[in-house]
Amino acid sequence: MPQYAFHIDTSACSGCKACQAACRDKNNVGFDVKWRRVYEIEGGNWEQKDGVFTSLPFSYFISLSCNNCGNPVCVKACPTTAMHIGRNGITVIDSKLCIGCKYCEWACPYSAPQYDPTRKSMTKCDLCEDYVITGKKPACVDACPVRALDFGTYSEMSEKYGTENELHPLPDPVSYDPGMIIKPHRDAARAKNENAVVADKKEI
Amino acid sequence: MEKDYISLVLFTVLSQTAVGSLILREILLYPANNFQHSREFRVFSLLFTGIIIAFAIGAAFLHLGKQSASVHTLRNLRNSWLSREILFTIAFSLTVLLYWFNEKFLNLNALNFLLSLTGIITGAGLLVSMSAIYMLPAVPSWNSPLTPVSFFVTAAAGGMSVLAILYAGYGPGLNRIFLVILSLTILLSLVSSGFMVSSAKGTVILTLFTIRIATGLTALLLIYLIYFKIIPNKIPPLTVLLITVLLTEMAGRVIFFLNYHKSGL
Repeated sequence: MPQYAFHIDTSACSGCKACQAACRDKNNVGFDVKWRRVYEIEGGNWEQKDGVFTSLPFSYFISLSCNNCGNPVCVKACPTTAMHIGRNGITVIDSKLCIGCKYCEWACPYSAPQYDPTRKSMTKCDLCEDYVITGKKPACVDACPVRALDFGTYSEMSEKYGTENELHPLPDPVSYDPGMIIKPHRDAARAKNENAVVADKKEI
Repeated sequence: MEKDYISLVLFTVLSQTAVGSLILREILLYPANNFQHSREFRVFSLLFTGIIIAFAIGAAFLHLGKQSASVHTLRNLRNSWLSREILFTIAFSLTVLLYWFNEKFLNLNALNFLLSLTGIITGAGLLVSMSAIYMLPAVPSWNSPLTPVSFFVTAAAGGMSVLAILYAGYGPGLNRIFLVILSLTILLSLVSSGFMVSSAKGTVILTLFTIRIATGLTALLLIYLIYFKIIPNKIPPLTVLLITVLLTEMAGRVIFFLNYHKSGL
């Protein structure tokens, strides 16, 4: 089974959250649940030149959902095997088995599995599996007005966009093998050096 | 961190106290060949451990979204530390129940030895699996040696405080070395949480740390007063000691859960 992957172009993303809205609309998830989240990364400093202080702020956005990892720690963590790799190679949740212990959410470095209090069960992005099996792209990808998101098999995406998957402040991808290819924002290197932070933590 | 972590605070502290009380009981009884202690002590110590682990399990259920599906929790023993922890919790609880039944009604010596050994192994397994659950690479603030240290220290401090009451009530009397070891364990607990707080932020955590220091010092003061026989070595002051120790450990555990931060995001 192929590993699916998202391409996230952080140099193009405007942070409009159309992907988030499309995801919510398509999957009918509650307000406490965000299968796709848009993180705003902010930082900056000052430069003093010839007695003049110039501010050098920067910000960029990362649209993130389940990365359908090749080494899914959520599957290993789940005590009931509710979280499992399904027939199509997509990590999904069997809600009949899920006890809602939230351990998968702790273990996932991207916090992709989320507890839905109305269903009393963990829920997560299933990459719009019903669309994918009919050859369509996930709702979030088609909703993006600037084409900052793309989706396909990992081999298709890596052929098209390369294999870069590191970006500040995302966790080190080595141990998880996420299905995620990133085009870094031009200020991503600065963000790492200047220790930029997630500005909209409360919203997320 | 989700808001209902209080049930996990209760589960972790109570289950660790139960494990600590059983393992320390076996260590203390072993050189005395089990039967130099009164029958009441042997029976009541197991009853106390059983009641504490029963409350711990009850608290754990409150954390679940769907309690009805909990019959499936042993399906992933191969990979999931949570599955293993649940297995050890069940095995430990059943061992304590059987052990109590044997001490109270059957008194079979050979079975006592077997159950003692099983209790120690399953209890240690519970502490180890619980430590592994929280040492997640995705949560750097938990993925530290302080996590197992704090769990084992809670087991030691809680377990000794439970046994202190039983020794005063039904045992051969409270040994002063026992009190010294208990006070050193409480000090270690306070120091270890000091390291945890040094990397944490927020006024809530600092307030909890202040409460923890206050209850910890109260426990140490009580031990001092009992040690120098200023207050009697009886059940009421030792019950207050157990409550202050449990409050100290629970405040520490709340700090632990509030200190949940994912790497990067």
